[in-house]
Amino acid sequence: MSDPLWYKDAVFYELHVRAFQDGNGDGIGDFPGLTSRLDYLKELGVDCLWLLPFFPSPLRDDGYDVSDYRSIHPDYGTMADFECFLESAHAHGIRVIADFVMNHTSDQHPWFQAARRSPDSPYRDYYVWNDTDERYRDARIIFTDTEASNWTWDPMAKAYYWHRFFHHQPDLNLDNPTVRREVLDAMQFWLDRGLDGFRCDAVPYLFERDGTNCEGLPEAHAFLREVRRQIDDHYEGRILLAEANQWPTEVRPYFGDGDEFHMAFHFPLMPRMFLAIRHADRRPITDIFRHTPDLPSTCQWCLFLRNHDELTLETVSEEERRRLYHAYVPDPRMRLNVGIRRRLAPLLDNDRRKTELLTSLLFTLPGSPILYYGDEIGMGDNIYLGDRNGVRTPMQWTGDRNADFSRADTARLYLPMIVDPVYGYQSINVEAQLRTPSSMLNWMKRLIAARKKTRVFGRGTLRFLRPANESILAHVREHEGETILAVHNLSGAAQPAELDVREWVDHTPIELLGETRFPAVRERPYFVSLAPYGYYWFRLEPPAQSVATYGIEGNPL
Amino acid sequence: MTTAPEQTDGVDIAIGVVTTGASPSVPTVVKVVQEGMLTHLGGLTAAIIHMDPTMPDEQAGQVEPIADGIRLIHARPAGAMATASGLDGWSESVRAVLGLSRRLHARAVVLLNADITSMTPVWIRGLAAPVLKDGGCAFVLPIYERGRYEGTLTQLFVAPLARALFGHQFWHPMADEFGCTGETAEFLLAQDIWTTDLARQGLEFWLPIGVAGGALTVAQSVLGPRVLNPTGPQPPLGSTVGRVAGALFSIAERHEAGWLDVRGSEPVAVLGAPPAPAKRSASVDPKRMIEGFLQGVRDLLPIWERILSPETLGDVLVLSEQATGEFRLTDSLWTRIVYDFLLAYRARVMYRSHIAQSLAPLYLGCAASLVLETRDRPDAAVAHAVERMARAFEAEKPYLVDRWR
Repeated sequence: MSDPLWYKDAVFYELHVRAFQDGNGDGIGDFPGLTSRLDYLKELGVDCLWLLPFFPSPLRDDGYDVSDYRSIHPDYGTMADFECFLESAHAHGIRVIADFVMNHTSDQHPWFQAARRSPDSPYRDYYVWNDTDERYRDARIIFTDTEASNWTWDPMAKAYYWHRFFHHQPDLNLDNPTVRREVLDAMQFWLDRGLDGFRCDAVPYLFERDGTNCEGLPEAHAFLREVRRQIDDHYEGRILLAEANQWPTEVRPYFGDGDEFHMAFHFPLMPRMFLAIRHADRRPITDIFRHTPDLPSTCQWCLFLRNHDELTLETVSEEERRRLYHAYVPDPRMRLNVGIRRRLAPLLDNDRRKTELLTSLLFTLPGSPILYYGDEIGMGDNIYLGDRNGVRTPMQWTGDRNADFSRADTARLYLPMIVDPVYGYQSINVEAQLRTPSSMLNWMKRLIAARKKTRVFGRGTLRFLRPANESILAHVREHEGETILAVHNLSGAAQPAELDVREWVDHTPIELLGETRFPAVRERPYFVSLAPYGYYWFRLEPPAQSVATYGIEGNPL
Repeated sequence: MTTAPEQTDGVDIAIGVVTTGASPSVPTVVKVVQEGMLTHLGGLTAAIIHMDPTMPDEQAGQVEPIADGIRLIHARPAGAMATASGLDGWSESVRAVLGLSRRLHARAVVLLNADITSMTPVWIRGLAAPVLKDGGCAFVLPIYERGRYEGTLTQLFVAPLARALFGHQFWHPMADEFGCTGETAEFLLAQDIWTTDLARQGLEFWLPIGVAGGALTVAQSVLGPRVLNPTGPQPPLGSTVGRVAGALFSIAERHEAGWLDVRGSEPVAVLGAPPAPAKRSASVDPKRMIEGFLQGVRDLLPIWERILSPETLGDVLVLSEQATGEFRLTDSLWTRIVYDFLLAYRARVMYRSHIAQSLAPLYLGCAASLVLETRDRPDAAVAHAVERMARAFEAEKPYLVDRWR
């Protein structure tokens, strides 16, 4: 665990403690339960867990409304349970990062409760107050489905308070040095316990200034650099991952000169992958990388297909958004805010070929992939549950009662299990897939293992080839003399591809998943045919190394 | 029947030189044999039998005088096709050499491979003299000088399995080259092995076991390095492992009465000082071997699930999660793997060739463990590890016998 750039090669796995495994039979997942499932995660090949918020919270926004930064939500166990989990995860070779919400708290946080009671409270200035709701009018409203304004009147405080998200999540006033110190102290509290970093929520919205859209202000970057410096000064190998749902050029400043975030999500890529596969056209993907700036050498993009939120469409054009809604939203209930609240498998019509193709893209494009819990077995969703709860249902371990997630009465589960005939836990569960060699789960394990054969996927440069067939996405990744050629057929029909790889003449393509040797590259275009939604990962071996040996073949007897 | 001279005078020693296709090295071998005869076996007569299943009609049957008392006979196995090659042709050629030796009334028969470039006159003495001596042995196996990681398949699989099954501590239980008495040649010719798949695929493994099973004495003669002139690309390791495993498993099945009650093992006489490992540099790559093992785990798991016992498979899966530096496939686990494969081969749980070939990645794991354990240690550590492995095969034999019965 000593490589400071470990996150560049890592496969991340996002999960909610509440949803993964119930250890005490109360119907809610907890840290003892999660600890008991670490073997599974290790076997899957996961390097780092990203835990959704597990702090005390009224849970009106799935834990992103924190009411105490230094405790564990009692539903999830005790601090001792957390420490036991973290120690066990590290023993399994798995790092852990956690969500950290520095933009706002719950309105139930003692700071806010004290602040609203008196203008003289020392906590009053922990939040952003105003006598009217007229200030910062250029700031957009994010949750358009539920919030009419970024200001809410508090009758006790007799003032408006500022919130970029739900009205029950008042924004912290990070202009206040005491608040900044509180945030830093809270982060250090968890780092001292061994946490490997944070996924920092909503970082563009930390500060407010008149006449701006209140996003990505210089003051925010100054504060984030201070956070990074404090962490680097006191800890080794810890990371900061930014959630900034913006265009790549707008996210780029959050990396600073390698002195702010280590990682940030590449939000616009995700919907474009869905768009590309829908229209059998590589251009949505290649175009977005034209608009993706280079990063400092110690920084990395985080790539994802799905997560705990809706499939956000904020970073696509109106036209693209219409096409995506048309393609992926057959029922209006699947829409939420500016996005689609569905899991990966249902989005892709439960088509294993499409899932494999998109996952292959996720693993081969520049960045570190994040898997969302349950997507490795093709779990479904429940669009009849409110908000984004439909994609946050319990993990499906077996076909037994409650999918072996919990021994509680079924009615007591924090959310109902998926029970429909296609995605229900009787059909889709870990146990069944472990026993099926060709299952989605076993395929995912093989793919993760293949990705780990080389560092080129996490660290290599990117170059797109331009075959005439636009249903073919072919890209080359290179790192320290190693070359990977990835070829994807975005179409549902078999496709030919003629690739101009003369630069690697006499190299032998070795298909990474099967270690199959393909004919060597010659001066003419290299021809491959791909099955519908097919893909290849080729390692291009130079001629001198083409006959790889174990060293014992020459005289085995 | 062999395409060979009708009338031949008797000789003391018949020396078979087997080739497949035109071999430029035959004159070199003939010269070595001539020197060996003159230097070490003076006064004895010899016939060098150049046996080649692809020999053209105009050459087959020719006899050339080489020196006083030594002649070269060109011959072709009966019925051999002009295109015969590889192992099939080799077993037919061996049979034909033995048959022609009988017609020559040879007191001793020596078999050589024309493609060996390291052969010296001492080899002739080493293979012929022990069987010519009154009260000598009936069959002589060679012991070669090897690099420390040469012959790992022999050291980790062939020798320990043959030793545990039949109780003979052979260094190199393969008669690619050998010497035997005329009586032993008669004995071998009388066996019903020659038309079997086993003869075509693994006669060299059967010969010492078949001889020892006939209560004939076997000795081992130290010859020196065995360097083959490469005649083509090396076969993939997987097919080599598959062929060897298939041959050994077939022998075990064919001769079950000869090993089920055998316990322990006995040394086999060694003529000459056992050689120290040669200092040839070998670029072994345990990391790549482990990758081969892991590839097997990924690709062959459904096959191994039908071959290995649940406990053995579980141990293999645990091993697949170990970091390279900590990777160790224990002697006990390898032994159980081999025994499970042997049992599955006997039970025909699937095509036998599939069973045998799917052993290859596991063998790579075993070989990687040997290298990782010993690469920074003296040569003696390799010998120690190999001996420890052989003892593990003996210790675990009841596991096999219980399930076999």
